[in-house]
Amino acid sequence: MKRWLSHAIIAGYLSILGYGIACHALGYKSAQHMGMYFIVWDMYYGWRGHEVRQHILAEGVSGQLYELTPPPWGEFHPFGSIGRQNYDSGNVFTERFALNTLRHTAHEPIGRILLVEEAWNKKFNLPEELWAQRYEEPRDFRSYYYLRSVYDPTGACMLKHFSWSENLAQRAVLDNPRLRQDMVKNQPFLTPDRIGRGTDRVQPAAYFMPNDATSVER
Amino acid sequence: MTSAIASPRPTLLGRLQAFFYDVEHPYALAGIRMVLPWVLMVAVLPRWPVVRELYSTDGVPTPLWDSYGHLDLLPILPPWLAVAAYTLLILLMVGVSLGCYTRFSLVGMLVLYGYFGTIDCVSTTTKYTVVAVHLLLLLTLSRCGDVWSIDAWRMRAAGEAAPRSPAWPRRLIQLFLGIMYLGAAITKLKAEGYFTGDHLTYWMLTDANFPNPLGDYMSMFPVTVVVASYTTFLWEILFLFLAWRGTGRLICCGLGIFFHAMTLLTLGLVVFPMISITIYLSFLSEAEARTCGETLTWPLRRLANRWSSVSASGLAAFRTWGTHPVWFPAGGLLVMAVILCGAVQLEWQLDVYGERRSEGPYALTPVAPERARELLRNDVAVAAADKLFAFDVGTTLMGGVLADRRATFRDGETAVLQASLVPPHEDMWVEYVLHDSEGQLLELEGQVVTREELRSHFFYQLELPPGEYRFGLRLAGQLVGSRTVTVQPGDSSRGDVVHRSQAGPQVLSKR
Repeated sequence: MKRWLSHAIIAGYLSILGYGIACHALGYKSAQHMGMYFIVWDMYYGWRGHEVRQHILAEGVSGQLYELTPPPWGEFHPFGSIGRQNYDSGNVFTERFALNTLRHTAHEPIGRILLVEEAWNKKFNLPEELWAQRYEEPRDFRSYYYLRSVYDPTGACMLKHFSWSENLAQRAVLDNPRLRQDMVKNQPFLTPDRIGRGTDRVQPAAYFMPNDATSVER
Repeated sequence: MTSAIASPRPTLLGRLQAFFYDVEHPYALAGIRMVLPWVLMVAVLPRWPVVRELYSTDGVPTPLWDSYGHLDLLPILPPWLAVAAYTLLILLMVGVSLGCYTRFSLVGMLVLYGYFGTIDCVSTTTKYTVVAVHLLLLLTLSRCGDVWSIDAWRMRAAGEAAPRSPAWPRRLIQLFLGIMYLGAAITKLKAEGYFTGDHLTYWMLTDANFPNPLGDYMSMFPVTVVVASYTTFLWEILFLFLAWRGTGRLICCGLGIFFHAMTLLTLGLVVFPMISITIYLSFLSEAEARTCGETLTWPLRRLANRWSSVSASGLAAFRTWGTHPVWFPAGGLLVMAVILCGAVQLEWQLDVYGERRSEGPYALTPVAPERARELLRNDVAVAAADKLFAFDVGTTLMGGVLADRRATFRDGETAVLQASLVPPHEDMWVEYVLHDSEGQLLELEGQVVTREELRSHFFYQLELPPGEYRFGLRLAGQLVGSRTVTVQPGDSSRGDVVHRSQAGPQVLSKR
């Protein structure tokens, strides 16, 4: 290889890696385009205190609910023992999973598609023998079900909420009468539809909240 | 009388020149070339039966470019072509490992692995995909096929000696690793809860990765996680500057191998640690890499020598075919074509979706009414007990977490009560209570814990008669955690129940 070409490759390659480091350190356009994914080393930047599972359901015109995940032909587990849809934490591809299952199965006409998140405290992932060493109280497993988004039969999004963790964080912030009064006064409208990386970032201004349902205080 | 002439001190440019352009036989790169495909195969092979579902128009591809807003950046292949291309990827990976038409195989593997690696960002794309793409790119620019390869054997048969080549591809791989660690350290600086061990603890407990029983066990000892967090951070920062020679190289690479092995055992990561450890081969010098390779392949060479002495005619035929400029590549292409056609046919026969079953396509699984009510419950509030991760009692804090959890104390010791809370949570009022063995309330103290805090601490000086007591934790007025402790006589045991409590600056006492 010509010497000048190898000089150019070395300088170019190291410059690109250095650019990635600088962008990541300074928070400058680090997610602007797909190329940045190859030079920004933000492994496991986000983390959650809850274990979350995604249930994709179809509601037939008869009102019967059907499981779309796991699909009837079997579920692929890419990393461990849970299905693919659980790694779509940003809820970006939900309708594609749903439509693929519907396309390859026999079923009645579908009225709508639902994404339900199931969440539980990660401490319940400890095996029984370790639980007994760690805690005095008995294990009282409890999971929470939360309607995250709704789609029509063609996959068009009809309703989308924050994730379970983001919802909890928002409720903590909005439990403030003065703040709610200010929000109503100005009446801005935002429908955040982003791919969330953080778990509890404060959302600006006003937006729709999921309808309050019965709490699970027991 | 003679005097020694001191050799001139090399200039910076001279040292850079030597660093990048010293010539060597690429044994280290050949080692990476041979191992990397089999490491990646751990993830690639299990996905072959589901190529249709993951990577084709008849499935659910989830392209990385879609999540960045570059819709339809690259075409999604029809099922038969996706299967053929994926099978070709596997064949090229074997070719790279064997060093057969190495550069061609590397280019093909780079393109196909990069394509399939980014067409499924949900269950294929991870940072090890990115690492592998970088490695494949740098290997493509190198002469890693000049040694320990079928290409090298063919060169020798043609009477050519393996050339030495500049070290800059290997140097770039080393620099890439150090820069990647630096980037990971920057991520840790920005990640909330990393240096308190919460980030790693919750990661150890998740079931989203492969099984990690050591992680479950280690999560019970938060101070070890805190120490590991700081150690990992320091090692990642310093690696790029110390890993080049001597003791620094030994320590950095040794720690690195240990760190990556621990991520396998504690976090359930499989391919990422294997790829990272493979990259450490680039830190072997030419002589070290050659010695390692010859030591590891000694049984194979012995077998080859025995076979060659048994079947000289077979060896001659093999050599004739293998070095022929037409038969060898033509034969290889023919074999590949047969395998690709067979793979497409086999995948069709598998009928992944069950649409060609005698009973017809699968029907959807209906959800039982009770389960449907549970799924559609739409819980938006969390029970008090589920806001608590753990309630512990000890005496020593390190890095903001209890270093010791104890059940026995001496009269006069200061007990530290720690409530670890699950994020995200609201601003909370946390109460600590103390009961004696008969259940009588002895003490009640409270604190505000703001939403940003993951832990609350309360310091309680134990000046109690010997016996059994119970500390309790209340959230929203409910008892959510308790610890039974035994107080033993101390140096200054007293008969009266006189006690003092100390807490953080926001304590409010309630009686």
